[in-house]
Amino acid sequence: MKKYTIILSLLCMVLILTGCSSLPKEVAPQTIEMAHIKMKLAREAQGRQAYASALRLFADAYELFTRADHIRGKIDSGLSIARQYFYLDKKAEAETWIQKASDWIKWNAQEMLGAKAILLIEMAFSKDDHQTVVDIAKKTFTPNIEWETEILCYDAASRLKLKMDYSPDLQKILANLPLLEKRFEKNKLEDPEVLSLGYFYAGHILCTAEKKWREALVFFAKAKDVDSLIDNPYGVGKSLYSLGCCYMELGVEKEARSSFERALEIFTLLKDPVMVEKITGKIDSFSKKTD
Amino acid sequence: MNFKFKHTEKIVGTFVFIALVILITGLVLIALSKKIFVETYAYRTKLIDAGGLSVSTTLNFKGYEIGRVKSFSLDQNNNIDVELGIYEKYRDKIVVGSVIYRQVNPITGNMSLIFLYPNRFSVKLADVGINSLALREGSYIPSLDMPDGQKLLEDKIVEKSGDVISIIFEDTRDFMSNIRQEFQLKKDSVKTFFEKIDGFSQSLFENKEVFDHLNRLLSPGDGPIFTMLNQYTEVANRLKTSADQLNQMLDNYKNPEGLMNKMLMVRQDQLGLAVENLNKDLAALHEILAALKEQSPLMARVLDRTEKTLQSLNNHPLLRGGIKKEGSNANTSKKKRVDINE
Repeated sequence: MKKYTIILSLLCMVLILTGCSSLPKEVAPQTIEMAHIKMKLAREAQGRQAYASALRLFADAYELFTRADHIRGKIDSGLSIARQYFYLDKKAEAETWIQKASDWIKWNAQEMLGAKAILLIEMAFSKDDHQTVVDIAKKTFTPNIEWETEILCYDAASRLKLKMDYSPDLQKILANLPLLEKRFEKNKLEDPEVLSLGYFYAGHILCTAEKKWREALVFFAKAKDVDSLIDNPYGVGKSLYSLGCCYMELGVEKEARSSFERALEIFTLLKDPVMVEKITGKIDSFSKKTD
Repeated sequence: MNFKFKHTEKIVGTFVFIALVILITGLVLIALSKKIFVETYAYRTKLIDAGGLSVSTTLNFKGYEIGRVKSFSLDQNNNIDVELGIYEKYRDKIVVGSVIYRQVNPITGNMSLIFLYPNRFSVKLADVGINSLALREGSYIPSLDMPDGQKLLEDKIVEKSGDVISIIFEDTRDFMSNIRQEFQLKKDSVKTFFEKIDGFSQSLFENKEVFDHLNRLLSPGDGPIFTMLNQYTEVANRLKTSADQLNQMLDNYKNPEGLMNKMLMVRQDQLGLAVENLNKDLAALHEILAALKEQSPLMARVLDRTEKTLQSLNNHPLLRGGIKKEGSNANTSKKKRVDINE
């Protein structure tokens, strides 16, 4: 009898312990799920250029990830917060958050180095600090194909500026593009703009460095199509301008003028005086030739 | 080895007997627990929905089971006619002003009926010479589903009580239903409602600056609007004085008879004073207009943003459309793209 009592008591203890241990596991996934929803909403807000709203949502997600002690989520949301501060021209805050994220990456999640590198490269590239871009890209290895392509694009463009060898980057971008295209078709790209960016910089390097205008046309046209699909007028405008330049070099004036005029319309709507002036200059040069 | 039961009949008989005892005891206990042998008094009530209602549904009062549903049927007005059996012990609790409250458990979907005893009577019993207001057997007890029951609740003759969670759920449901009716929302638009609320709070947050400006402008004493209003009042008073003087002057000239005499009677200094005052007032007015002009960019900005806020408030609730989206004036992407030959 005593034996059975002991066995029964042990069984009860095991059951109680199993029940208790499953409790926190039930709470955490709900918090993490909520955090992921916040991240999704924040990315949507970022896509709409509502950076202040996106910042708030990323901060909420960060709070939830912290509560659930989800380190990858914390890093992801932390870097996203830094990115929003960068977009909102609050450099100091952006730097603070990058520093925080760097510490977590260093100790907990080396695989997130790619995400951090992209943000740093974007910041350096926007300041035309090409040497920094090349340095960061050299040190970064990431298995994430989207991050890799984005880094390669900026690296290739910077190497071109610094008159360095860009061909390995270009080859890798060209190899990644079909994979990204497939994911894009299945709507599985986390950031679909990476595909148009890849096409754009492939075209850019081909025409600028290798003077392959006809080949570059194909890439710019694809970049324009992707940007149209993802509703990115800035990308469409840039691709149209590049298409116009290619057509101009190839002597197809009618197409070139048409591309420039469409690009002019877009940049006028986007209120980008620099691009408007540049494109107007190109259109005027046509008029002078005709005269 | 041969094995044989010696007392087979006794053993089987004992088992059968035990089984029968258990069965009968069980039946008796069930009958007692279901109060089958308790005498009941029939009362009626009406409900709007029979979802979760059964003949075993109990009527509870302060946690005590005071009765049970005997039968229910759909009447001509599509209401549920319910016959209740009230136990003898609690019969005196069924008084005028009592109400039946139908409560549905949001999780199990089971219905329970709660008996609500009146907090007070609509008349003082002693005043009307009645010792008891107990309802007769077969009387109708209003339910909160029906207007007469609702009236008793509104008049605070009865108060809702029962399962707290169920009450919260029901109150929430009523609240949402009222919101839907109020704002003519569709059933599936609760999500949209909260999204709109979220958007509204965002717009309020973004427009905090506007309210700050408004606060600053409207702050009594040092706010520019108040300063301007004070100046304006001062000038208006002075203008009024000048206008009175002019009126007085014009009165003098109203009657043409003896005009020349009156003209000759006008004192030169009076006219001069009026013109001088007018000149001063115009100068002050000019200053105010200049100040207004200085403030106008700030005010225009504040008003512009206020208009947007009010527009969203107008559209609320449910922020139909929210604040109008302006044409995109920023680059949609922050990923820099280098131009050819740049």
